[in-house]
Amino acid sequence: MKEELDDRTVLDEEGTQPHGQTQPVSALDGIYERLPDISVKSLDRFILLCVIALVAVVVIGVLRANHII
Amino acid sequence: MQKSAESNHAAPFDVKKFMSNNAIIILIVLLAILTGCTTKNFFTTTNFKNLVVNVAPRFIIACGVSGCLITKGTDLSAGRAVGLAACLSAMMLQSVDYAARMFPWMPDIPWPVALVIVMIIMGAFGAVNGIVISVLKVPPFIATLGMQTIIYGLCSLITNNQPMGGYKKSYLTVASGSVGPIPYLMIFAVIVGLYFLFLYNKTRHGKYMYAIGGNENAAQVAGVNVRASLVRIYILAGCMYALAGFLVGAKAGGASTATGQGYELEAIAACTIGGVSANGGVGRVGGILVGVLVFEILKICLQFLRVDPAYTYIAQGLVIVIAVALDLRKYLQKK
Repeated sequence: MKEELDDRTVLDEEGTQPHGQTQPVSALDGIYERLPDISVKSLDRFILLCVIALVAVVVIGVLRANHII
Repeated sequence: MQKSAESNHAAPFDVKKFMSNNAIIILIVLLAILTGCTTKNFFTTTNFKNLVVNVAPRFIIACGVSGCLITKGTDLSAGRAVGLAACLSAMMLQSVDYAARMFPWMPDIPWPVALVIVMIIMGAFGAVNGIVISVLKVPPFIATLGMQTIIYGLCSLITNNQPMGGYKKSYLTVASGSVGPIPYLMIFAVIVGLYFLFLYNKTRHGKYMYAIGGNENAAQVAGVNVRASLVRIYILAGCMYALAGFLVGAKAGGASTATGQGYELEAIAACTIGGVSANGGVGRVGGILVGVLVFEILKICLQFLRVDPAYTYIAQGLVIVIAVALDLRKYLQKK
């Protein structure tokens, strides 16, 4: 079992399949696994920040369209 | 008794979870209500019809792209493919008595025949994408980026960079006509939506697609023909771009090499907003429709509020970032 797991690790690291066949590599393949450790809490803060930015952009856009600022 | 005890223990409606899962949709609905209350003619049939007509081709493109995204791929050639399809349709469907006809020798072709020809041609481009990705193992990002430029070059060559117009009436009616209050474009979108709903949920192809997106190696071991499935997905995507290009051309009443520019990013963004995970293996047709609607309603709201288009682009970018962050949040919670 351990051997099997080790084999799989080597397979993942090298990105190859047995018999030397190259594994398809996508730009998105395992995109989230490759990210550094992020906590849900910090991600929530980021989302909140983006939502505030979105609201701010819309508000500024509307105010400028009406020549208020 | 046990069942009732279980139902008593069922998780109560979590407002926070609901808000975080649907943050973008809630924001857009609030924006729409705000726009409706502060401007005239927002909640009108005409505006609703405009929304439907704008959403229809974008939904069709997004459906095409969704298959690629679910299998951890992407298709950056979508926009240019739509442009080429629009130009090919234009060439075949210019009015016979139009003075500046590109090919004066071309016989009068009925629009359904032209549509089939365009779908076959664009399906062939999709097949090339699929083969390059699945057989030659080129990353989808690079393969489709190359195809995007190739298609643009081909489009410039065959059109001599000249915009085309002078369409025959039957072709224009495809976009402008309606059955009662329902525009033909909406009918096309509904048919495509139902087809994809069936394809993704009720067929072996759909199951294979989700399996490949979840874990390609496991799918292969389980007996899924990954190569054939990927080629089929990209062919189908090509056919969808053909249909969308055909409709976009009819709607605009003309086509040029600039037609469809940037549509691929809109489609990918709409899919992400609609819950198609960038990590693959997840995505529903209903979600894709919601994603396209969110994007289009945001644009229309900001247009009604007379906001500078530059702000619209910034808002769209932020919506995409929020959608990806929410998707990542779901992934982290599962982990």
